[in-house]
Amino acid sequence: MNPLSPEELLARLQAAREAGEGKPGSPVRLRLHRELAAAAPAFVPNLLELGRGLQVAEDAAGTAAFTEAEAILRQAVTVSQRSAPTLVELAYFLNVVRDSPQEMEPLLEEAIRQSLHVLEEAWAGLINVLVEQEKYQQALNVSEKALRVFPESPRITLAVESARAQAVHEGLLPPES
Amino acid sequence: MCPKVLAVTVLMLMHLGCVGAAAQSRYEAAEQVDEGGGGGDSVSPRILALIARGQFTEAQVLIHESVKGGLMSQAAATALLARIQLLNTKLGEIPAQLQKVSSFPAILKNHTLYEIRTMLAQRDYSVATVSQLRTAQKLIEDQQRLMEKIR
Repeated sequence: MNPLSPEELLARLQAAREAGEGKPGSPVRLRLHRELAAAAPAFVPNLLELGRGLQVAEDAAGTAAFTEAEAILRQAVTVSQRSAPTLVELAYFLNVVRDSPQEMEPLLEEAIRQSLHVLEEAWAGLINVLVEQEKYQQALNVSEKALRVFPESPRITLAVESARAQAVHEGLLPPES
Repeated sequence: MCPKVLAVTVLMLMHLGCVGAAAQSRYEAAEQVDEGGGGGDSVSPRILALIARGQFTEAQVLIHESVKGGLMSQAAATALLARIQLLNTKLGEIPAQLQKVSSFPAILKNHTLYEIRTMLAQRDYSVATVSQLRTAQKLIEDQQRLMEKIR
């Protein structure tokens, strides 16, 4: 079987999302998500939709649906190489359905560590790109938020220094502020 | 509604909101969250206080009047109304599949999230155990997340 093209994957995901009037637990929607998961086992957005839908399945399949949801969410964690969104989905499942807060905690900590790293990179890049486009006031506003979360990050503090230096030149900040 | 009538309504509701404040203070403290995009206006804290005390009807009136009077954005109003709806949800109203979790506390089926949160905040374990209350709370709060679109 030929692998699905990116366009086909997205079209089938969209079709599944819209099926059953868009209700996550509708039988027709679950069927389409399942078929897509079988055809594309590493397509994470579909696995997450299926994992959620099974937890609110309208035909109330009982524990079998929970067993399937757990397998699908663990698959999403594995094939995404433990991406933050998959860790969060599995964490909520384990806490709410399995009543296991002790399993949820380390998964969320791992997701937060990853997300913070992404946030740090995104903020440093955003401050720099705002300065580059001479949007100094915006750069200062973002700097303030970024420093609150990452007061010691070398990337953030360097970006903030550039933004402040430019803002002083523009008269937006007094010297030595 | 003319501004004067609105002001009187707001004052009246603010007064109503003060009743029983001491009894619910612990619950209210647990309820301090973002205002759903309505930051900076003066009525949101009042509305949040009413919601925290379970005075949903008064809160809904104040939300609608605030939007009409231009004191609150539609987005902030929608977020607050959704919050009220969630707090008013009974455990027995969550999707049938979620009621099949092995630890489902059926004894709390007729209780709303607001009542369950209040019992937890006040350490009132006369109706259910602490772990039953916690399970009920997370089931009601999570069912909404599960029904949302994945971002």
